[in-house]
Amino acid sequence: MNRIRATVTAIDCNGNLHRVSLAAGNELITVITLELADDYTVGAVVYVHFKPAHVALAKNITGEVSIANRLKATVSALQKGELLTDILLDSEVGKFYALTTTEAVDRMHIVPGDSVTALMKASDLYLSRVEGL
Amino acid sequence: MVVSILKKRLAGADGSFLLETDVKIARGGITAVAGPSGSGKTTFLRMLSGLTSPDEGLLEVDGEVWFRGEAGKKPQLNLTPQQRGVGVVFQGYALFPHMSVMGNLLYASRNREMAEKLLDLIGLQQLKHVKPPNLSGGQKQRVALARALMQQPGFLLLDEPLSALDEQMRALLQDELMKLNRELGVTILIVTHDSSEMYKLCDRVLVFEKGQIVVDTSPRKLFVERATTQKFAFKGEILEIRAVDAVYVAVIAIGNNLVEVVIDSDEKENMLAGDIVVVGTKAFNPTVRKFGAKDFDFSKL
Repeated sequence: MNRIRATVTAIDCNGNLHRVSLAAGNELITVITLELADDYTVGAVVYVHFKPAHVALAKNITGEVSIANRLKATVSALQKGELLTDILLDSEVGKFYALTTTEAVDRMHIVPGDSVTALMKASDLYLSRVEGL
Repeated sequence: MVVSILKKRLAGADGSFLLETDVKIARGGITAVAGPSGSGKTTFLRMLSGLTSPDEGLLEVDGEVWFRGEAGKKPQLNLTPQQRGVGVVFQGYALFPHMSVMGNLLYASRNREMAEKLLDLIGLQQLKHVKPPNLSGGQKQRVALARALMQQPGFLLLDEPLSALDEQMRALLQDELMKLNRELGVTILIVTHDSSEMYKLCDRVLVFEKGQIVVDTSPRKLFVERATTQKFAFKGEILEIRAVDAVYVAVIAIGNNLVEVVIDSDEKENMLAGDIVVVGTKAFNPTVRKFGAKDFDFSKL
């Protein structure tokens, strides 16, 4: 599972549904979650977790996309399987993986060094506290 | 090899039914016997051990006939439980309270060497002079297991031997059963309702339903390799559905766990509190992490 360190900048809630806004470097991250423990407060340093299978990639993206999280990244390595490809990305917030179909990798001609945008839906992200902080 | 082609009419909750087994069990394995209560599992084990007489049929073990009989007639051959020498452990352990652990083992057979070996195997060497009233449930069950093995049976029949124990003790005894199976070569039949126990211990699962064996397969085929893309699916009951923001949140009881699941308005349309549902997700979605000190163990409730 991918992990990014981030700082909580805002928490909004409606009933037990929460939207947590976070900052990691210059990137902004939004997480939608049900219950949120009391120790998640503005200023708290947390980890944002997400599965590689929940990361979509875009190249030369234009127009509007509803997906809340869009991180600029560079492709640093590819591990190609017959059906799926695991892509290692490097970004301002650290390294993380995207798992996508090999068909998409071939169609988009994704190679190491490419600049891409990683797209993650707010409801696909998880939060955990950084121990000792 | 056990060949069991046995029939017996049993009285069930909704009338009588015929228990009918036509099954071959190879030596050396661990076979799970599963199914709802009153489906004939215990009677099947009792017929193998000689504690219950079948109405008719044939029971042959390694080429030797243990039972042969025709319907309505006195059996032509029916070995006594002593002649069969099958080890049996039932749910309620029956140890002699006035005898020590060692005394209980030696009552089954005077073989002191075997008793020492079994006490080592089940880790009760330290408690051999203690009497059963001073043992925990798990320790008593281990003594019952060791006593059943004293006569070095080729077969060990276990009727829910672990169901009354807590999770930790159950895991420990499961390891011990596997060790006994491996080191003593004893063939084990175990009545269990616990799917993880079947998966961990057994190479074969027989599911009984109204006296018939309706499933005969490997635990992996039964539980994991099912023809569905929904790999992660649990039966549960909706306790409550609440509207939150633009979605709905259902509180669902799965076993002893309560989980909250976001459902959309379309799904909400035909769901009500009290509905029995299947909560599922694809194999790609669940997250897996080590159980930590902060996690709540619902099995302890």
